[in-house]
Amino acid sequence: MLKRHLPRLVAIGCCVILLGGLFVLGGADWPQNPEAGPGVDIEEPTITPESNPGAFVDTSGIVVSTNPVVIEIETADGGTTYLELANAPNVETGQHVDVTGTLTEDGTLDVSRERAVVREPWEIAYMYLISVVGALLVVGIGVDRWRLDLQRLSVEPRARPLHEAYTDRTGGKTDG
Amino acid sequence: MADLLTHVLAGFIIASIGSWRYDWITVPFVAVTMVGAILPDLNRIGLIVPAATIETALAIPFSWTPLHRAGGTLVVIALGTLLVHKQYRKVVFAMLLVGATSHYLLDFVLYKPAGVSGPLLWPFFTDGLAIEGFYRSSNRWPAVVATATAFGIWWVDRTWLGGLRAETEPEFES
Repeated sequence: MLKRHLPRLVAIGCCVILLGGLFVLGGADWPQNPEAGPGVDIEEPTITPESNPGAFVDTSGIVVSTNPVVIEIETADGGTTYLELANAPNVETGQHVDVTGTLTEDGTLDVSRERAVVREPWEIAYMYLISVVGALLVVGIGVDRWRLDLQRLSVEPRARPLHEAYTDRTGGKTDG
Repeated sequence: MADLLTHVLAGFIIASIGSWRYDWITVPFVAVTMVGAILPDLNRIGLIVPAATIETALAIPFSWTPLHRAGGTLVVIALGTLLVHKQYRKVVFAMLLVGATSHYLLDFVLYKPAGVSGPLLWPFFTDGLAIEGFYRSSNRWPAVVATATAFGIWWVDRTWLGGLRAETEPEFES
């Protein structure tokens, strides 16, 4: 049986290797950082705001102080860095802000205020919660309509949706 | 990214409308389109297994971001296509591609303060596109609009067009 599936298994193996290669290339920023936005990447741990006066920055973070406004930014290595904002929008501690602007000589980001986005913490929570609903919907309809055929070592459409088989067994069909 | 529910419903809407023109888009393949619509967000695996952890463990550069870029998504689509029996591969590939494309189209019009999208077409094109987006991933209205539209499409399909066909098409059999 294995021999019959060998070409497909080899193809799957090639795809896995290719995908792994992309993960490494992405980590090595080749041909370019796949997360790179315009301007200086302030989320790179080796970059300091003071050493890049005049540079354009596009970043986001959580407000940790309001006078002056300072945001906490997650860096690429999983750590955190802090950036002071000038000309910042009205914010409160804990809010999430997306900003662009230009770095000044003292390492402050002179923000383009009208383009900044301020979000409440619950808006981020909403985004994740509604996304879980979407993921459950896909898993539900996927399992309902598709099955794993161990004989053919492949995923196949079900002849009947799983929910129909279940309602038949439990007598649900007679309700209709 | 838009929220995942909006992406999923966009996949449903596109595939359902497509089924009005193409008989071979049956319910299982509508489901495949919905799966395709969330494939780029597989990069959220980084919330569970941070890339930095893998980098430390394997001592090699590593990033999950390629999953949310055109190159990585194409490979994932190829993987998904290889998982199904060959009689369904063409249509599964097509519908995964349609779903994933809808995901990127929605992501391109996300509002970014810089007015430039992320380099979503990496590694084929490494720069973002200058697009003035009009919604944020945390906005509530995209999910509301997508839900209302999906219900509308479902209702029209069921009421006037007899509903989506459930069976798979014999023309795809080998």
